[in-house]
Amino acid sequence: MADIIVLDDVIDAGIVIKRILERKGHGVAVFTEEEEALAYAAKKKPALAILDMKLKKLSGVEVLEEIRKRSPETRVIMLTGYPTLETARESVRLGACEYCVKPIDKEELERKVEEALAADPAKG
Amino acid sequence: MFSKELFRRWTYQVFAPGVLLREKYNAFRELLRFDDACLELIAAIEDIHYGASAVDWARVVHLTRRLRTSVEEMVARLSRLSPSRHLDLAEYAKKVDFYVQMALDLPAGGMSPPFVADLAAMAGRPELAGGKAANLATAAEKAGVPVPPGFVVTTGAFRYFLEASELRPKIDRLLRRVDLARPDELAGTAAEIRRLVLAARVPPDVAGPLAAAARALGTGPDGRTRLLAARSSAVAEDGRASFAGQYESLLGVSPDDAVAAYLRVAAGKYAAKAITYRVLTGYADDETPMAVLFLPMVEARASGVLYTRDSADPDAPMAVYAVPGLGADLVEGSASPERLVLSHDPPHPLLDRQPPDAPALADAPARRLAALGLALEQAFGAPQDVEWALDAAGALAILQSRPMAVEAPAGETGEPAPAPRVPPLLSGCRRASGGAAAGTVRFAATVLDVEAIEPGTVLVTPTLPTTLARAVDRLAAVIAVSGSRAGHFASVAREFALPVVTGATDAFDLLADGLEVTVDADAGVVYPGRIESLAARPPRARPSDGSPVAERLARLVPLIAGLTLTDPTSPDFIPAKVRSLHDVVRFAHEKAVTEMFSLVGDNARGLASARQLKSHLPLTMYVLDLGGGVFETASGDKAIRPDQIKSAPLWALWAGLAADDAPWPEGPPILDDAAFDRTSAGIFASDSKHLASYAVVSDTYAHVMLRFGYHFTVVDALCGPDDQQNYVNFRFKGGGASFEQRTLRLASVRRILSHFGFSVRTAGDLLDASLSRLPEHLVQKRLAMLGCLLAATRMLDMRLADAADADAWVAAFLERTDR
Repeated sequence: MADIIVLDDVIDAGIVIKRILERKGHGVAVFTEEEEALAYAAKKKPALAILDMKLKKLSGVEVLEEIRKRSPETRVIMLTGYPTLETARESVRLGACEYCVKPIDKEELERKVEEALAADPAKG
Repeated sequence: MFSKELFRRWTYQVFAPGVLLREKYNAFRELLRFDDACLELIAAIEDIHYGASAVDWARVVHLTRRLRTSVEEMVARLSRLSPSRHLDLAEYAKKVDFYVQMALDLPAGGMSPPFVADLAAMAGRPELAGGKAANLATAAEKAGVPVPPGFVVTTGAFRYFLEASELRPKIDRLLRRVDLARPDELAGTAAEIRRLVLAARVPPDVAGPLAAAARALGTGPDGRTRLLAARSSAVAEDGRASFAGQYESLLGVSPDDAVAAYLRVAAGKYAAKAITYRVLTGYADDETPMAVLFLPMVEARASGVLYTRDSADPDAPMAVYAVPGLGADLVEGSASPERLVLSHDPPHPLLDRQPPDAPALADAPARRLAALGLALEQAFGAPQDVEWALDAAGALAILQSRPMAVEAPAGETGEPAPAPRVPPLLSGCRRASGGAAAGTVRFAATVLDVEAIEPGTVLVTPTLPTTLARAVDRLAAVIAVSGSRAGHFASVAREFALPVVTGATDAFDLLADGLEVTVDADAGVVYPGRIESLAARPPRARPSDGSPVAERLARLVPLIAGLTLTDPTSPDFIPAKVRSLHDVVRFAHEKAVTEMFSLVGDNARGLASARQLKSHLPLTMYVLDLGGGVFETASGDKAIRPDQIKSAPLWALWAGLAADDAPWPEGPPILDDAAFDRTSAGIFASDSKHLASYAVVSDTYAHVMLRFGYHFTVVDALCGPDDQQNYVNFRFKGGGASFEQRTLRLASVRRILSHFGFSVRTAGDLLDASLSRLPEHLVQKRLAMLGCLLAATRMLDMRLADAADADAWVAAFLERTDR
């Protein structure tokens, strides 16, 4: 059981992820606003953040960078429907442990979350 | 191209009433062609991953790019074939494709200034200065040993040079041809790349500072001009892999020629031996950019090599190898140096000296050198392999320090093998690289043709030239008349655990070309024949294990070759579940075949429809007639009998399959067992089409797909009156048994097909055989043989226990069919 946040500009997308992960026993908070998610991350230091790349004001990469500052222990999975090698490289460089492409099915999401939670936090 | 055209004609005849149907049929045919290409590319990439072929990383990138294109084409064909179905396949295929791209992605190396930097500033900066220069700077800074002044043309300069002269894509195009199994081609490819590099211009941003630094370094403290040495210093050199002697260094360079010297050393990165070594140790070209270290020439009275530990034994003393003057001949393996053994502990008393008279290196400087060696060992935390020079004034300078290549300690695998009772052919040789191996003697008395060295060769040579490193993967052992363990080649041999002995003075007299011998390098002895107790050592660890290329392949191959969509009847056989390009290929092929069956079944009017072939064989097969493949008498029937087959190739194949003496082994009905395992738990319909085999036929053509237990087979053949157009293509893949058993079965099938004149290729567990331009009656005979073979190979992998079984089986089969 881990504390997980999901940030997606489309609330429904976040809710779907929340349902899948809650069934696995995790506690999931869904956000559509960057500031709220970052404030929550700074205060609660969640184990994992799942970030969409296309957000309202910032890019997913910018949020990733900010989370690394405010809660360095939080592992991050990037999730995007518009993958590019540039953002993938940048995400890995900034310490994201996974860069996943939508559409993502239940089984793949569960596996990636397990792997991220099992990963060595020192390696990000 | 011919068969494609033929297909257009047939399909036009058959489907003339419906242009749409004809288009679909063409899409199907094209899809099958891409399916072929994809499976071949997947197998080729797997072969690289599992070590069956050693190629440059550029080839992996190239094969993957071709695979990605072919997969995309397959997906496009499937959507033409069934426009309203599998709509999400393209999206999921794109996703897998992106993951593949990520796994292929190499972090871009820096190419920004400084392009030229002072050696002293390079300590601990191997990514900028390369291994050799960074180590040397660290030696001066941390160990405080005397090191000449110098400067480094950085790795950034090298990358900038390749970029500015647009060489990268050209070099990659050539590197992707590199396959160590074809050493003769490698020499040509390497020469071509070196020509490209040497013909390029060093950009002014690099050449300017380089020339200025060379002028400064080339002016001695007395104001007189002095010559320079330009030495390679590539990334990864002297690190996990030694790259000992793989790159070119230039001595006696005039400061005015520094830019030209830089270009030559840079081009040395693409010497055949350097490429071979890099591929074998598992680095991409871009991961080993070449920095070049410039040092002033030392006017050496003596020079050589120091090992701070003479062997893997932690209590071993130090050993110094010395020659008068400069040591180039020593490390090139051609000079026999004097050898000094000194105590590892201060004050390093001299323990031995060979030969005892006329020393190049006197006792006192030798002991000073040993003290420097100890300082280096302590600074780097491991025994060191040190290059040194003693100048005219009696001052020592350290020119290079790298970790010693560590040999696996003898006897690690258990108790030492007892000495064989056979009298040795040669004894008293010196071990240059330990281990034991058996092989066939080849003399290389004068000219050494590295390309011609065959696997399993025990090379007998006057010296140990560095070029031998190119054959390190093919040599069983090396016996040299002279040369020492201080040479570059000896160092590479130790890294690859290749047994090498030197000092075999009488080797050319006492051995004979073609003789089988066993070399025990640890004991310095050569025995006649193959001595199992010595030669049967555990296999060598591959030096590329744990390398960057191996790690990338470990990430890439599951995304390319992994197969999760194994069962077409499963609810998980959907695009959302594809996890690899192989899954996409499997899905598209399966759905295309299904589509062709339904296409024909739904449109019976005026068209040949796929009909079940009813026979006594435990095989469910559907036949789709394109025209003239089935006798007219059967035109109205829902199912057909074997004697109604008119198609010449299918008839011949069937004759073999159904022959009275075809050994149909006891077993389950012939279906796709992987699917059967799942389905049989529920309701199983034995003639269900997705589990069935099928044949698409005309009078002279047959495309037959047989699902056979856990493997499947495709026979594609044309058999008509025109000899030049006839062909048989045969593909055999998969199996449910262990990898060894499948390999054994594949080898047996290969022997039989070769016996009948097929040209056969295998890659992974995929076998491709072909035969072409034969008279009609011969093609029929071969197809009948194939039918027998298919009947006989069913479940064969479960039954072949060992090589003796396989031999017996092959002999029995040939006895029965070759008549």
